[in-house]
Amino acid sequence: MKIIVCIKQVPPSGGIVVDETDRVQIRSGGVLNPCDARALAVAVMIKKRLGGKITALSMGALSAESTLRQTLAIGADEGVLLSDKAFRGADVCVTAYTLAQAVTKLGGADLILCGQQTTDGDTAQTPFSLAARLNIPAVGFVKAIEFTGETPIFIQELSGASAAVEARFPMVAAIGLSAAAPLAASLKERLDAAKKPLKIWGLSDMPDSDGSNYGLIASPTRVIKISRISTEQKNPPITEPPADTAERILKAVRAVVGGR
Amino acid sequence: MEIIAFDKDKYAGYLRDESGLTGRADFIAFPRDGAELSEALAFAAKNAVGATVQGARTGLFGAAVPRGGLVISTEKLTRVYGACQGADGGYTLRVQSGVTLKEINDYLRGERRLFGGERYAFAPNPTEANATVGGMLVRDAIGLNALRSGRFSEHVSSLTVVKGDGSTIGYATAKELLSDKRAGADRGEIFAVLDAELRLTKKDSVFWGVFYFFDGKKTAEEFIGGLLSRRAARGFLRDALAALVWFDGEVLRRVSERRLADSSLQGLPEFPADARAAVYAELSGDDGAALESELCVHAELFEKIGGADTWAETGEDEIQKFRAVCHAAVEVAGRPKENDGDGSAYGYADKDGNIVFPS
Ligand SMILES: Cc1cc2nc3c(=O)[nH]c(=O)nc-3n(C[C@H](O)[C@H](O)[C@H](O)COP(=O)(O)OP(=O)(O)OC[C@H]3O[C@@H](n4cnc5c(N)ncnc54)[C@H](O)[C@@H]3O)c2cc1C
Repeated sequence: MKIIVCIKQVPPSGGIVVDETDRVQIRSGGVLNPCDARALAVAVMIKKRLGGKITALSMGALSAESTLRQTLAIGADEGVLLSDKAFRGADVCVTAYTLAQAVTKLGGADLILCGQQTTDGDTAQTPFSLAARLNIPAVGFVKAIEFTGETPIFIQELSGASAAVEARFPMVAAIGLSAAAPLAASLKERLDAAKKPLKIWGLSDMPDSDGSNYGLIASPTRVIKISRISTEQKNPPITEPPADTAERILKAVRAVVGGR
Repeated sequence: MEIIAFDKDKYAGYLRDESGLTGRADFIAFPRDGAELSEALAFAAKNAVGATVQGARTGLFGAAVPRGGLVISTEKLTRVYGACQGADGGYTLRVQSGVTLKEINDYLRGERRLFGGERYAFAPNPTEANATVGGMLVRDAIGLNALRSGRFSEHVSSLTVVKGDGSTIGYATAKELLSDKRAGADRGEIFAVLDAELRLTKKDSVFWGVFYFFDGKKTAEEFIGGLLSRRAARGFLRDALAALVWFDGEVLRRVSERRLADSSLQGLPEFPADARAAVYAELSGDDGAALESELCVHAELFEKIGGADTWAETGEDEIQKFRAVCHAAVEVAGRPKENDGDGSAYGYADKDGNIVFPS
């Protein structure tokens, strides 16, 4: 079983910094995207059952190498980082194209696992866009994994219902937060991760090495403006002991209806 | 500045802190500078009403809970004046007392915030990011990295204090204030910290955080003893080992219960089911290879003692989820008096290797 897990380094919570000139995020370090941590946990679970090899694939700044090393410690067998100035500023469409190029170069995969969404871009479209680029099926919003014999069954969250989708390889699955608990590496695994293979590929390594098909210039999305939304809280949160709240409610009710 | 009559509904939050105690108050004021802070304290003195200075009210012992009179909130004393280089070449950051730990860290992490081409940090980390400089200074807060960095007061190079009569005094060190008779601090008299100059430390580039889980308290203590004796023996380790934090099984169980409600804990797996104690160790420095070989020695020691599982992470951003466990532990451990048995449910190793409790 050949599994590719797409992972992304995202800013720590609340840490998104945007370059004011081209409105592209400045990336300098960060953490493994929470849904991707679950996708990796699912990959490790499937590999335990069916055997095979896990490749962690990421597009990002060179700082994302540390996050890829983390995935190698947790259970990936090899890592590939797509990092090149030409890839900078890619929107979801072009990110999927770049990842698809790398998947092709890797010789394809039986199963490609992605996190359902990231905490920075948050479009939740990359997995499906990637599946479309590779012309393979995708299942999204996976909230649990079961097995029928050796076949993984993806339990998909639908509005108010669930669907059980039997895996038919090759395919893409987008994994949600509840699908699996994240894994932690042991100290030994974390130290040994430095010895596992990690490749860095740039534009010239891609099957399509025409720079005009990558990054900001190839992206149909145009960011016009980024603004912080500030919400004004009209009523302060209730922090008093419940007995005080009860007393205030009682007072308010008495003021309206009277009584002792 | 307006001295506002206390409206219990509007200002209910100002009657409590994290101790869970509730007090009462007659007036409240939100000074923005030294003159207004003096005005508030002078008002309390003139009208012979007591005053309580409040930071972020994250204190665990009720020290910010008013007992009538005037509440002086420092929440509008939030100016960060900026950094400067001292004669010794070191850098300091001058801030008003209502500035929080988070605001200091955000300021220093700013994209282009370099000092002589280097990154600097404020070392004390009492984990509660909302705590203010005034509160941390007066409590002399102790951070999870107390082993390397000691107490808050060790990182203050000068400060300005407004006394109960409204007059202002400057101090060269926080320790001087905490024991000084002129401000009345030693007699429990009211005073308010206006601003402070915080000593910055050159920031390390490599960070490791490791959780070691044990089947009992004894093995955890043996492990801590082993790490501390290595630290005593070798120069490099003295600097590399930044934090040692101790948890008992009950604290682990209570932190685990909080996982669903606390988003900062959700990036972690469940603690190992048989863990009855844990030690969190943090190492940092600039020599990554040296840190890794030191960690190999820790791993050997852990194995020899018969420890069970470990979790390890590297990178300052990634170890935040481990620090979040330390933060949650303070919240769930209860006050020291409620801690179990010998009162050691959770604690930090200080510079001398003693386990102490955040206060
Ligand atoms: C989850 C959690 C974790 C915590 N972890 C730690 C920890 O690891 N280590 C630790 O030491 N503490 C810890 N604390 C306790 C708390 O954060 C500290 O006591 C902190 O120093 C208090 O800061 P504050 O701004 O909230 O002060 P407050 O609680 O508002 O006030 C504390 C005291 O300082 C006085 N004060 C505040 N500002 C001024 C001022 N400008 N001038 C004069 N007096 C002033 C108040 O009168 C009061 O006596 C933790 C608390 C929580 C809730």
